[in-house]
Order: sequence, then structure tokens, then C-alpha cells
Amino acid sequence: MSAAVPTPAVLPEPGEPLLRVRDLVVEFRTANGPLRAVDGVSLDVARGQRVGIVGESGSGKSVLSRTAMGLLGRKDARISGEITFRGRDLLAMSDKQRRELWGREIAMVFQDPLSSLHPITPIGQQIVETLRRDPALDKAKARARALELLDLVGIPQAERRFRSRAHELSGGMRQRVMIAIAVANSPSLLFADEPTTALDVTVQARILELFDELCRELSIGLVMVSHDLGVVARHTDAVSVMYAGRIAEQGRVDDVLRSPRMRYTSALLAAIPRIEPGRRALPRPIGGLPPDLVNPPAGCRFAPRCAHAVAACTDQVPVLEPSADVPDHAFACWNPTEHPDRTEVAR
Amino acid sequence: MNRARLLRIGLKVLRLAAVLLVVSSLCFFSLSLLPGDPARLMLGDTATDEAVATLRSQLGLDLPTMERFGHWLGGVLQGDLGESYRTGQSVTQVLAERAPVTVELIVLSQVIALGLAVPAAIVAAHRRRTGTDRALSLWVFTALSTPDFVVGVVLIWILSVHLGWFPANGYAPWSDGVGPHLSSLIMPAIALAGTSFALYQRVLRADLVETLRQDYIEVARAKGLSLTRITFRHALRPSLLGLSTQIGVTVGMLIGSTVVVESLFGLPGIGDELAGAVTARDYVEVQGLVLVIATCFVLVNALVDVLYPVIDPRLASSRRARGGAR
Ligand SMILES: Nc1ncnc2c1ncn2[C@@H]1O[C@H](COP(=O)(O)OP(=O)(O)O)[C@@H](O)[C@H]1O
Ligand code: SF4
Ligand SMILES: [Mg+2]
Repeated sequence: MSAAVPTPAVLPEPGEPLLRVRDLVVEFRTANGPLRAVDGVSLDVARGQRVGIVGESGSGKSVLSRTAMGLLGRKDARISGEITFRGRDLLAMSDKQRRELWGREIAMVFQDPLSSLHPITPIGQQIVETLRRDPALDKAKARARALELLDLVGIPQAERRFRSRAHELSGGMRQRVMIAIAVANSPSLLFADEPTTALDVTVQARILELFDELCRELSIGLVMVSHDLGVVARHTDAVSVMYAGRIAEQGRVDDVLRSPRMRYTSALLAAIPRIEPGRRALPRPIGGLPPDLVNPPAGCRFAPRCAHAVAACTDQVPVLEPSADVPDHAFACWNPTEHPDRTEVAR
Repeated sequence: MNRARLLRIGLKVLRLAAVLLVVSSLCFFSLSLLPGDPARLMLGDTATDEAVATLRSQLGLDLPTMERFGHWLGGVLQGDLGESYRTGQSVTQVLAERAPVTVELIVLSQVIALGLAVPAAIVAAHRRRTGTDRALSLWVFTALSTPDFVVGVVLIWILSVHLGWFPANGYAPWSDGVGPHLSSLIMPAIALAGTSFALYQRVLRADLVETLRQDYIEVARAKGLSLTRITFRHALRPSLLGLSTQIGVTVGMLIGSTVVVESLFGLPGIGDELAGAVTARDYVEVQGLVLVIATCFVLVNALVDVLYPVIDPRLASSRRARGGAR
């Protein structure tokens, strides 16, 4: 890729997603033995599509997104499977080639904006620095563009804020700055790892709306990692539910969250308080703890906590397979929830 | 707010003055407890008791200790550090002649120490727990546990005796030319730098390892910045506080080390002079030198203190937030 000319926003060929992950396995060497944080995950992200990844803490969401971005590489863990970005094999790239993509083609917004921003460098400078990845942009132009970006992400008095340091801003403002940095060079793929978890509930919604807007206007493919089903339900198009490093269920948000098939997804949904009319029920938290990833249980990893486990669950791994009626809705369960009203609910 | 700031500075100066007073009096009274009489040492064993007594009263040594201290302190406050018993030379003049040599020696040793420690710390932090890191820490440990004079002797043996690159001994002033001047300082500076290098590498490596774990470094990586830029623009500055503190403390220690190094290499600096003055029980001169050394130490550390908020502006705002307490 020539550095001087910004890559035009080419839409992926029909059928070829922006990001394609196949059978990804990420295994860390730990003192207790190999730990499989991600175990056979496949995932597609198209341009302009917002893909959610949900699961309890420790289910491998961060490891998955950091590996998919290439930040976690073969030096840090044993990795197998396929990661293709715009048809290019990310795992086969050199450090230099991957660095070339970061901040220009692929970007990430992290969980804690205070610790993500440099404590000393003024925030304007931190945006300019990213913009200057494009050698065609001189200092003055980069500065002007940085001010535009601050404006774009909704930071008032950009001129004055330019020289502020991270600790002088509110949590929401900090995350807006992080987003400005992430979208500075109009990436085609954006990872957001629990981008609102560290923020007040009131600020959360506005930040999530900002993501929606940016994805729509810049047609960015977004991978939104969250442990909050509500966030995913409102702000993504497709979702993958992760449990103990594996995909439990994936498909369009409407299908997965309205008619969950795999029992873990249903349990997750039952665990959140809902105020929808007609569905009022007390939240039922999932009992037990997520499994130890060094010595995971055989069969379905959710089996020890599952109220619907059958004999097969404890000795055979359930395969992630499309459901018969909705082919782009896949789940891995031996005893799935049945939805007689399914076709109605799912339009 | 400005008055608060003035008050803070005023308090600081007062505190420094108090430290210096305590150091001077400790030094004065402990010297007077030492056995040995300067008059006797000056005149030699063959002198009569009368001659010694006459000299003692000439030098004011027969006065009570307290009175001598008061007299000396009065002089100091007027900028007069007194005169050496041995040479009759004023201590201020001794300082004017000898301080530049020592200051230059220390500065040169610090340039060498930092010049090696900063890259060594960066490499070790990036390659932590690899062979490179372990090799570096072995070097650091060796440097830390080898006394300066041993390094000095080894340097003399290799670089002077065997290779003949530098003179083994003696000092060449600037007037002899830059080459000879630096040649006469380089080996003592290296000998003096060993300990500082080791301390600096350890402190900076530890702080860098901590910084490199921070989220903002991961963010810098995700921006696609080069390792060089991440190291120098993102990681180094937040890692400098420990190093600055260490420099302040080390420079104070170094003045002690110059006694050995200057004597070994025959450099006419303050350390060498101080060694001579202590041996001769030249109270006035020892007093004067110690006071100046202590002042330098205190000033260096005050400077480090002032530099903290420049290195890391978060400290300035947290100080303001604390309402300017100290
Ligand atoms: N560098 C690492 N070394 C060893 N284990 C790791 C490392 N990073 C993550 N893990 C483990 O991988 C699992 C998944 O972690 P993570 O992806 O952070 O979970 P999530 O983001 O879903 O909360 C956890 O059990 C965690 O302890
Ligand atoms: S496979 Fe069995 S244990 Fe796993 S979620 Fe389905 S029913 Fe429960
Ligand atoms: Mg996480």
C-alpha cells in the first residue's frame, strides 16, 4: 500500500467481508499449563456493520479482539486459525506490515479512557500524532484536522481543549478523545473493547450513539465488545455470544436476543432485569462460576451451570451449527430452547 | 495564590538553611572530638610544647569550642570561610582553584553514566526477562559491587600501562589544550561513573517496565507508531521521576567518592584537598569544604524538586490541589 495516497474506501467484493476470522485458537502458556482463551472462533465483519461480542468477564472477548486486530501476535501466544483483513492474511504479516495498518486501516478504542490517554502529552498532540501517520499531512493541516475531529466527536471549545491533558477532562470527554484518535485516519475497521464500561450510565448512551453515527457516516465496520447485553441489543447489527473462549451462539441481534437457542444465551437474558411489557420477570442470575480455562470441562463448557443439560452435554462438544429455520443464526447446544413463535418475532 | 507560592519558597529556603546549620555544627563538633592537634601536626614531633602552645593561641585553638564555632559562623555569614591552618590560604580561594576540577569530573562522570544507563535501561525494559536483560543486569550488579578505586586501578593498568592511551596520573588544565585536558579526566570520570551507571540503569529499567505495561503504551502501539517513537515520545518521560530522585541522591554521594578517585589519579580537586585537610586536622578548611559540599548537595536536590512538575505536569496540579503544603 502506498503511504502517500490514502486508500480509497473500496467496498469489499460481494461475499468478501472486511474481517474474516476462521477457527481462531489463542493459547497462552501459563504456570499451570496452556490456557485456551479463544477456542475455535469464527467471525465475519462487513463494512458498515456493527458486530457485538458479549459474554461474561473472562470469556475471551478482549483476547479475541486484540488478536483479530493483530495486537496480540505469535510472540505472545500460540495462535492458529485464520484472520483475514480485506483479503490479506493478518497472521502472516510482518510486524511492520501490521503496524502499517494500525491507526490507519484498523483502530481500537479501549475500556478505560483515563489510562488509555497519555498522562502528560496534551490531547490535541495525541490526535495530531495519529494523523501524522499520513505523511501527506503537514503540522498545520494535522492541527486543523484534529480540531475538526474534536468537533466531530462532540467536544465543545475544541481550540481550548486541544491543550488539555487527560486528567483535566471528564470520563465522557476522554472517551470522545479516544474515539477521535481511533477514527482520525478514517479506518475501515474499528474495535471497541467495553468502550462505555468505565463511564457513567448517562454518558454511556451518548458515546454509543456516537459510535452508531460514525459507523453510518464513515461506513466503518465495528466490533463492539461488551458484557452488557443491553448495549449490544441497541447498538449492534450482529452478535456473537462467547462462553469460556467459544462461540455459544451467533447471528443477527434480533434473532439471537429475541429467540435465543443456546441455553447460556437464555440464561444471560434471564439474568438482566427487563421492563418490557408482558415479559416482566425477576432477574435470575446464573449460578456458579465460569470454568477454569486451563482444565475446562469436557463436552459443553456451560454444562456444570446449565439447568437443561442432557447426557450428551457432559461428554460431547456441541457443534456451532446454523438453525434449520434461520440459516444465519447459529448455536451450539444439545438441548436448545424451542421457539414456536419464532417466525413471528424475527419478522 | 502568588503569596502562598512566595511563602512556600521562603519556607523552603529556611529549611535548607537549617539543614546547612545542622550539617556544619555536626561537622565542627565531631572534628573537635577527634584526637590529634593541628598545631602539633604542623610543627612535627620535635617541636617544644611551648612552640606548640604559642601556635595554638595564634590560631585561636586555645579558645573554647563553642566560641570558635561562633567565630567561624560569623565569618561564614559574611562570606568568609576562614583560612587554612596549613597554608594560610583563604578557604574561598582554595575552593575557587579546586572546585572546577571536581565539578567537571562529576559532570563528566554523570554524562558517561547516563549515556550508558539510559540506553541500557531501555533495551533491558523492552527485552525484560530475556538473555539480554540478564546480561545487562549482571553488568549492573558488577558495576555496583566494584569499588571505584578498583575500577580506577584496572583502567590505569589497561589503558595507561598497557595501551598508553591516557596518562596514569596527573591533571592537565584547559590551558594545556582540550585533548590533554580531557585525557587527564576521562579515566577518573569512568571510575567514578560505575556506581551511578548501575543505580540509574536499575531505577530507570524498573520504571520503564512499569510504564510499558500501561494502557497508553498499548494505545500508542494500536496507533501504529514505531517502537522508537513509543519509547522516546510515550514511555520515557513518565518514567523519569525515579531517575531524577536517584540523580539528586547520587550526586551527593559522588562528592564522597571523589576523595578516593582524585587521590588515585592525582587530580587537584576538592576531594583530594579534603583528604589532606582531614589528615592535618585543618579544622577551618574541613569546615569550609564540608559546608560548600553540603550546600551543593542541598541545591542539587532542591533543583530536582523544582524539576518534578516540569517532567510530569500532573504533579504540579496535585501540588496545587493540596493547597501548596510544602
Ligand atoms: N497475556 C495473558 N496471559 C495469560 N492469560 C491471559 C492473558 N490475557 C488474557 N488471559 C486469560 O484469558 C482469558 C480471557 O481473558 P479476556 O479476553 O481478557 O476476557 P474478557 O475480555 O472476556 O473479560 C482470561 O482467563 C484471562 O485470564
Ligand atoms: S449443550 Fe447442554 S449444557 Fe450446553 S447449553 Fe446446551 S443444554 Fe446446556
Ligand atoms: Mg475484556
